[in-house]
Amino acid sequence: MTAVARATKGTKVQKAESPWAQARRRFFAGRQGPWGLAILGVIFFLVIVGPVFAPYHVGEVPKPSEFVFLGRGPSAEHIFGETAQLQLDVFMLVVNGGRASLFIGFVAAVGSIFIGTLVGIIAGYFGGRLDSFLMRLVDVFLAVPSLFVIIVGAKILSALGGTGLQTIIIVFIVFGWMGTARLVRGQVLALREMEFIEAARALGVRPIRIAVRHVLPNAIGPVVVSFPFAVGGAIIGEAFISYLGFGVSALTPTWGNMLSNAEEFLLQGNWWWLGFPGLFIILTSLSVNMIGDALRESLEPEGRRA
Amino acid sequence: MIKYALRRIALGIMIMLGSSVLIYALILAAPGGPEQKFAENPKYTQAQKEGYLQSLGLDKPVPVQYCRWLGACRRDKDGLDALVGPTGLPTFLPSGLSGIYTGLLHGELGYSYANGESVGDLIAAAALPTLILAGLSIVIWLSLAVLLGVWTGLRAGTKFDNVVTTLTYVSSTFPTFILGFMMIWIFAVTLGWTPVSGMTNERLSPAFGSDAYWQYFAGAPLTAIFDLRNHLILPVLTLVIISVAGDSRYVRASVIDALSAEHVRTARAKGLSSRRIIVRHTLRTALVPFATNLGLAFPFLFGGALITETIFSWPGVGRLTLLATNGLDYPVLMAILLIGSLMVVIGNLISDLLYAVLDPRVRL
Amino acid sequence: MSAVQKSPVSKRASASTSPLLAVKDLSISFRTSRGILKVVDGVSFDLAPGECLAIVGESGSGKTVSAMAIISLLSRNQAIIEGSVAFKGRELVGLSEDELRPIRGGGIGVIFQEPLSALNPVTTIGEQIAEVIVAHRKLSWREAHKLAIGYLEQVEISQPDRRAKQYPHQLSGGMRQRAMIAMALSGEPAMIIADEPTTALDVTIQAQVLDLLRRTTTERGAALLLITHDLGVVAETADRIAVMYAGQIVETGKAANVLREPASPYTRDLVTSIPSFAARGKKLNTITGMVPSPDAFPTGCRFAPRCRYAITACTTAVPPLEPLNDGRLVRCIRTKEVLDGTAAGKRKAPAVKREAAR
Repeated sequence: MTAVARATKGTKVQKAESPWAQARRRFFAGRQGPWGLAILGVIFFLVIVGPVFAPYHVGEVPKPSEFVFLGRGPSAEHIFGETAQLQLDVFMLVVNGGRASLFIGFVAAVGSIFIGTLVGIIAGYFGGRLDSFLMRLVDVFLAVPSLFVIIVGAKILSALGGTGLQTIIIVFIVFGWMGTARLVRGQVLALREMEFIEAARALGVRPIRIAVRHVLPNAIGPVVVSFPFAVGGAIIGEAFISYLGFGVSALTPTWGNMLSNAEEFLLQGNWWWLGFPGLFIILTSLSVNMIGDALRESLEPEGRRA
Repeated sequence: MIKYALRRIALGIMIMLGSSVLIYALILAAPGGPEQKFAENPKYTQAQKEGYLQSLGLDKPVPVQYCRWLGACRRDKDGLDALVGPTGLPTFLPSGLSGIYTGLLHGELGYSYANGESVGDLIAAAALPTLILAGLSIVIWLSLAVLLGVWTGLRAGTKFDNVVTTLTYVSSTFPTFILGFMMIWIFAVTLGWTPVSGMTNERLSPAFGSDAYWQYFAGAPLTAIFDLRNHLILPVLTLVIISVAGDSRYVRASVIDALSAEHVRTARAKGLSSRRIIVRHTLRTALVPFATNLGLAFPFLFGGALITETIFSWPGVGRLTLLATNGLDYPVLMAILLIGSLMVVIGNLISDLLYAVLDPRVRL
Repeated sequence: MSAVQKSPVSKRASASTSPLLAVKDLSISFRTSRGILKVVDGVSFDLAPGECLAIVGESGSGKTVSAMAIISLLSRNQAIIEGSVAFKGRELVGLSEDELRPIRGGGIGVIFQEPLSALNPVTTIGEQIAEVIVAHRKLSWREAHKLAIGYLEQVEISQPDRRAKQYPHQLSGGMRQRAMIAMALSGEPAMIIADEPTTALDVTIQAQVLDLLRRTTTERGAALLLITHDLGVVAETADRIAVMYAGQIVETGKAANVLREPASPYTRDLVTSIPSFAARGKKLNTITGMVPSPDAFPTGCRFAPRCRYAITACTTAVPPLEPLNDGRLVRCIRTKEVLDGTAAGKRKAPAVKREAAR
């Protein structure tokens, strides 16, 4: 036995955890993360599987004998009640609207983060004039007030004739990549100077491999954290823009245009048509924020308190 | 320090130019415009159409149109001649120097497609209500955010802190417009304590901002102010609730970070009074990042309350934007986007300068 | 031994006066996610007025934690302190923040390892010194600022009036540490705790700063508690040494004795591992193994797994501190044999040089 082995025999060795395993452990150890996932999971489940349970097709209209202008409230048959005028089942609308809204949220988030990451890596890694130019571009896009320009952009695109879902997604992506770009660029800049990258270069590792195997895994931490927030933001943004009438047309239900249609009947007493989509928006936003915060804490734990 | 300021200002100007190009390009892509009016009227001949377009300068190449719109090119000349004003000085200089009065740089914002009013007048009329709503909200929520954030940050981990933090957490994830709906439903519809929407009670007073309104105001100031107050309560409350939540958490995090900083340990080791440690060593460093929030509040005064204005039918810039967007009223839209960008750039400038004043490490 | 010759004889402890600082059976435990860990176990040492005691140990030995615990700078939520710390006869353990305040800075000054993070980045140097004076000596701010410039002068910072208006990031590393020394001195304390004061500095500056530290404390008759892992620093400056390993003190005594003839196996290994010019070309001496972590301290003598003289008896019980003829305390049951050279070890022990390696 070597001298070292003899000397250390019997001393306990701590099992090493990879950073991802550590983060995952921290995520599930807290309360926020698992609850957020649970809530979101339930919403997902309802949205995807829901139609199976309810016997109504989306556009089904009641028999003339059951005609109530304002629509009936929540009941055993219609657990979320009926809409006014056409008396459509609100549960089905929420479920189908949820599909559209969630789809928009995820695709918009993925798209803007993808472009932002690309720009950020290019700017950070190559530096110099390219970096300056790209960052000025980011500044310019950021200078224009986002809500305004998204509304205008959505209107223009839809006037040019896009179908609802795609229009909104494109607008969100075009005006949503800047934050990620800055974030990623900052990470890449910091990493570039780190000694383990220098060491890899000195050892002759090819640049592509450095970029993929060493830079990328360390840079995506903040990006992963921002993903849930991006999804939440897109869902809320879509809701608002559809409510204003610039988003998805009413032919495809989304939570947003449900709010828009339901609003005028709120004062007359139909609270469920507005309330349930609203509730789902709130819950989605909450759960997505919880997941994002839990991710942030598990990837970068809070500093000790004095 | 002066050099730093000048550099940031120069950068700001560059960014404004860039965003003006972006905005122009965006509007360019849009359908409609003067040609639209003609497309609807089949009686106009092709020649008449071309003549009209030429008079508007719409037959020139795009960069020239942009240059004229900006005010850096004269409308009555072509080519490089267009860059020099009648006084012999370059056109982008102020009107007094260059003799040019057209274009953005010289204050010409155009006229609305919808009713022909000057865009400047329209925006000015809308800006006052927005200023009142947003300004009041900002003052309230920034002060509350600092107070609440510092209070909970210093007592981090206590029951009080946990309760407040949970509350702020939930309210910060609430979408603004849904909160607005809920407020209306609860307080205006169900309880009837406040009016549902709008800025003034139409039965009592004329529309806000008109000459008639100011006469009415001069005649019965107290009633007018109370009326305003009633209409302000819900929208301000909505804005404040959501914004305080987010900002106070930010301040709290800064305070907690600052408390665990090494130099606070040094201050404790020096036996300084806890008041001095908190104020001079902790808060002084904790509030520096908050300075950026102050700068960002500036653009909010113009366009940040769009969502709230919509829900509450507040006659401000937000509602103007929506009307203009619906009607594809490009001069109004462009002006709003430009002014909005200007506010963002100025706001960033303010935060950068504030940061440099507060943190000596930044001054290069 | 150089340290013995440097300081003026009259100021040093003759042990007839009671000690300035008496630490007895100090134990410090931390609440962690893995339970309560005892990081410092039954540490005792005395500091006489005007003397320099160096606490030596590797990272993780508990030396910094012990020093911070003296004025209770550890987190109150996480650290549990047991035992006694008596300063000028007064018990410090258990005092409230308000009661400790006058002692911190006024009775006991502290110098930290990394001045850039220890100093407030948005406050001028002058103000950071002046606030100590205002807090402890009841002078006005104007007078305090004037005195602050005086202290900067004493620590040999040129153009002190200009420097006082500057911020920490505008000074070089060595100057910042000098400013920290000035800050510690300005409270006119009876003793100063210096936690690795030169570790973050360039080698060429280290000697100057160390020298300055010793000189200014001696001139005032202030005691110095020096925490370090660097035996070279110790040899220059300390009157007495306490060696810590894995949360316990394993040897204390006069610096000269401990360094010239280390009595505990750990100290022996430390001293012989210092590379010396005389031994060039030969293989470096190392201590095999690693310092145990607090959740896995071995039973019995904590150094036994790595000790070349270990026998079975070493692993059954923790050896107590036993006094030697020359006044030293050693925690080892085989000390006599180690000193005589008759201890049969598993490996051949390298010879201990007569002069402390420097």
